[in-house]
Amino acid sequence: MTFTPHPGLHPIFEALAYTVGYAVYRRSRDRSGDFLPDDHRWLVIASASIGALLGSRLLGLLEEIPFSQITWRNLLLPGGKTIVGGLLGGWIAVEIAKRVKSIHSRTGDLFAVPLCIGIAIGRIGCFLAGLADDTFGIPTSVPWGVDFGDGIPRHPTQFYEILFLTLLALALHRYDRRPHPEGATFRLFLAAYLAWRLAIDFIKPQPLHYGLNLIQWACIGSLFALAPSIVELLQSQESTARSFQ
Amino acid sequence: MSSSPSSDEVRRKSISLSRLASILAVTFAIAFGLCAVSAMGVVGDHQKVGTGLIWISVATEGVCLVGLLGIGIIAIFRSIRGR
Repeated sequence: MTFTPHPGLHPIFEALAYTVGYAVYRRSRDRSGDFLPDDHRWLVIASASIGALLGSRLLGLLEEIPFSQITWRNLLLPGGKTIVGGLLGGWIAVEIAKRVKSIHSRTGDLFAVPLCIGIAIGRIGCFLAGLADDTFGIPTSVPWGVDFGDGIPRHPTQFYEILFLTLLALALHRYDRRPHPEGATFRLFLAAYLAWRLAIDFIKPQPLHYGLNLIQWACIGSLFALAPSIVELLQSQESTARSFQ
Repeated sequence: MSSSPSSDEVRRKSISLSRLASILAVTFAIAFGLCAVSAMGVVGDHQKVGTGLIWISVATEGVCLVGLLGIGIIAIFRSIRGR
């Protein structure tokens, strides 16, 4: 399949991703209610947004180190932004803000499904940008390979991710409607997305460092950091299931 | 006669500060995306449009950055006064 890229549509889909993600968050907050007061919720959103902004850019810049130097000019001028960096930056910033404000409850559940939908919409823009965006896959001979204009059919990794995120959103939506420990939906989302990126990045032509690209290393580090929390979650669900028997 | 602000008033102020910070952060992200895309299109006839868009995006990012720094400084002052 040959395809003519339209990089100009990328920021439109990015803006659409933020808008739809926010609308879905508002809808689920109105429907299921929120145990956090408004001012704390906005503090969480603000720290997540700023952390995501810094994290996505920082990991994007680190990815570019082999090709260019990090300067103050490079921080504002064009270059990469990464979703994994955004998620991790947002997560760290929220944990810091919660510690400063002494918020002890887990606050991420309401963001899990909106993030799936937002990232999936953003990936449409990545696909339309073609080779100008670094999210395409390695050359392939599969029938659904996409030629982004250089005559080489490649894995449409953006579409694989849209499919994965759609299934993840449906699963998390179902899970969230059942009784579950506080923060479980978000932790499951984060673990699933990081594991997905660790796997899918094997079919992306990115520079490797010790066999993996920088995003994959970030995913491995974060999955290790998340592991105790996921184990704790699984154990608590096991004990809940046993108490029902 | 001056009176100290009620807790509701303080809460309302802190809400709008966080909301403003979120809006600035998202605007920065979109402006950065626009900047990146303009750079992709800087070839031949598009050069004029591309560089123009790049500088508009950079200016937007600069305004957002200054706004975020301002909000951060106000938040620090508020927390010091609150203590």
